[in-house]
Amino acid sequence: MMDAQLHLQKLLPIFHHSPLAMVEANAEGKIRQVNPKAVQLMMPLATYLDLPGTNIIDTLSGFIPAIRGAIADFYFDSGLIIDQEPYIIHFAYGQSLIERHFSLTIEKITPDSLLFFFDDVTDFLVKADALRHRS
Amino acid sequence: MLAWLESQTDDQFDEAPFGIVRMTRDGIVAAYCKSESHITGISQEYALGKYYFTQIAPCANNMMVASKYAQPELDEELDYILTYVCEPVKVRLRLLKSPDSRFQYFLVDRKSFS
Repeated sequence: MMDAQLHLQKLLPIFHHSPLAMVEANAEGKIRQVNPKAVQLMMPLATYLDLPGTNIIDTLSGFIPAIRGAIADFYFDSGLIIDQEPYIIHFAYGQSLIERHFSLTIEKITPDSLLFFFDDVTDFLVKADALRHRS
Repeated sequence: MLAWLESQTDDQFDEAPFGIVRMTRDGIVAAYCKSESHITGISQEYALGKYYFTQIAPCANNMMVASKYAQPELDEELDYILTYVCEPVKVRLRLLKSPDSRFQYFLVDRKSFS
């Protein structure tokens, strides 16, 4: 038991330092655990929608409406709902119109536990495009 | 508020009922009060000397918070969620900066500032 707890403690820094956004939520999207990268990416989106940022489904579906249906239509108790799908997100912040490219994975762990993994891959795509043009 | 913050020593910040981070204009933590430490679970010893938005509060390293400090003058409040060692915590932030000061400030309260 102690070994398991120690192992969990060792895993925590990976969760906190991950460059990938990670969220664990209940079936309705209410956030239970969230890492700093997820808060960094999610809060501007939630604020744009005038949401408190405590529900990941409400926040993401404001930009990607299809995810609400994808989650509702997934009848299995566990499994991948969305697997590294690319999405383009548009929103305004102050006077700026912003376009960002996101990669999103949603996995159902139990009937009342959803994992969300996402990343803003805009800069990566720009660099990949520059690399293609150079070669 | 900024005048009061400027008049306080690092130790005096520990008496404040809300979290206070004093940073250099480069974003390096110069003072990290006890209340802030209680909210985030990060010790003062760990925080001091580190880049605040990349090493201590990466959750706030975005256009809503960190980028605001690029302005020469700043006094803005906003609702936010902080998470690091702590569970996600809903907070009210106040971001402060003046061209007359060599520091900038990040204030955190679980309630709104009045």
